Amino acid sequence: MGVVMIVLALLPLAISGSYYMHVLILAFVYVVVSSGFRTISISGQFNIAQGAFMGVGAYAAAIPAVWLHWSPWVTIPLGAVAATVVGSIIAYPFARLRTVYYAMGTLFLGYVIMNLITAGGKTTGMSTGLGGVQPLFSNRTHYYYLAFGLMVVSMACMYRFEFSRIGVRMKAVAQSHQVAASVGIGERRNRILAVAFGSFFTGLLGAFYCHYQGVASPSSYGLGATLLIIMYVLVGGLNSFWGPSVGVLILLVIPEFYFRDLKGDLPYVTAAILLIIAFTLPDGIVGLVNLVKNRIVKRLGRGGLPQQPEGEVRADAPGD
Amino acid sequence: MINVVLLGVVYILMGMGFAFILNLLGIFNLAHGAIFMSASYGCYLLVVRLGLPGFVAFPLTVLVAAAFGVVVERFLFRPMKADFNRTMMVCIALSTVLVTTFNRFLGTKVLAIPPFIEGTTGIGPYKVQTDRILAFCIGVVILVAIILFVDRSRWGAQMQAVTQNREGAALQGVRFSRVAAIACAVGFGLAAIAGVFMGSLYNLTPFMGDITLIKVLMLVILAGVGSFNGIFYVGGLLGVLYGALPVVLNGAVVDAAASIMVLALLVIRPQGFFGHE
Repeated sequence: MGVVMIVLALLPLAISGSYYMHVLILAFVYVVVSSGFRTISISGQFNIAQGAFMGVGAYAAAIPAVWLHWSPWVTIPLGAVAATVVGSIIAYPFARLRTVYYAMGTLFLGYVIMNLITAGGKTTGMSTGLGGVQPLFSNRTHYYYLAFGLMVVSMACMYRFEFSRIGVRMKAVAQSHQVAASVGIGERRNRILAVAFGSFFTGLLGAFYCHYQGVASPSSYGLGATLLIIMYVLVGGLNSFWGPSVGVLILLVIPEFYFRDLKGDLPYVTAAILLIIAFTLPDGIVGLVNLVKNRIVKRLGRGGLPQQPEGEVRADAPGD
Repeated sequence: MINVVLLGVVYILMGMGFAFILNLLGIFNLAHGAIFMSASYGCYLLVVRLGLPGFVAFPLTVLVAAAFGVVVERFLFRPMKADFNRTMMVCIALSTVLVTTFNRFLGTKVLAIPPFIEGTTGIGPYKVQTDRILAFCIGVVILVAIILFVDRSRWGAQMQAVTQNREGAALQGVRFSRVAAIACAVGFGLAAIAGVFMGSLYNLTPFMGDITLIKVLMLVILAGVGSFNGIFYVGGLLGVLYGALPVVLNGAVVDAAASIMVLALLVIRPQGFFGHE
């Protein structure tokens, strides 16, 4: 982990093309947003409005930045707070829905949020988007380091969150809300908390992203964007903390770096990867890595670890 | 006016198909919009490129879609064992492939399915295109047939049994795999019918499925999961509302109001108007 961090921190010295830097900034944004998706999902909520939460953060930053000329250093945290507030208000009614119904409800919700945003007339720039969001820096390397810093901080917070007592409670709620309730873990409270926490970082990076792009456009936050996020998470592995990051690496960074010439055919490759994973590796690429690791450990005669997906709580897990 | 009514029929057909798959297989079929879009393009290709008459192309499209439904159920849905994440991956993959294919080859062109019958018919003082009236009649007949199928036929009874209690139905000798295959065939077939109607109303785009899927979700949430008849009533109601309200109100306002109504319903009565879960 440390090696990856150092390499990423020193990378701007080595890579010259600003295009590669752009891809990495995008990747940092999507790593956090899809990890935010996963943070919400550890409490058992498959949130198909993730793109719209990002959009709430982006527009909450873009509107004061464009019309009131607020400093980006104020509007970016404001975007995060707005996404948290909207997320928690919405989470309240949705905490009654489970699995398929939650997914259906949130898909519809994402559409409603983006619809309300674009219905804002001149203030939100309608369907063409709100342009003229002032940039933070003139140099792309500065953006790179800001995105990198935001990613490190967000990921550290989400890591602490997931492996804290609260995180264990969330996983208990996801596994069985009845058993969780019987030991005093309220379902609704924990699910709302998960959405609030996850959408804070989603909104933060959404706000950063719109300042980086200089425009907040609805097409970046619609259903298509959400499906991309879901693909990253599912390919990497929904059950492990690093799953979304691995998914972004495989579906975003590697194709943009090495396979740019098959741009039009890329969705076919993505679909094939999704199908292979759906059929053979329900835990995603990280699940495969864990499997191989366990095999090797076993081969070496050290007994092997019990097969256990990282994100699930066992009945005898040391809870609280 | 007839367009709005026909649009209502399209949404009801889509919603019914979606509900078949949701109720019987427990699968949130994200690819439903893509099937709808593909059927629209398929019918266009049959009529324009191959020169088939509409009366051949339309049933052919629907049959192909239904057969595709059986294949998808057998090779994509069944191995997933209704695991939510895995069915999600399969549906996204399917929808990505279909949307990308049609977008690459036909996406940039403005296309519409030509009318099956030219000319207009006078109803009272109004002139209406004959093919729209025909489409409306076909749609209503199919809807009635589907409702009778679910209510009266043996397969329909089996489907209702599976919806209520899958294990119980299996104990009574209902073969789940066959019921699931029929449900997928009917679901995809209905999506195809809706797609062809939609293609004769508006221009085709590879992304027409997305917005229709969202309208269908609205319908299913309002009607309540687990009910077929509810979709029929709510679809009719929404059709009337969408038809009548824009006369007095702005269309965007109606859309926002309907959306907020659905969200409010989720708070008050999550099982929908006609659901019983």
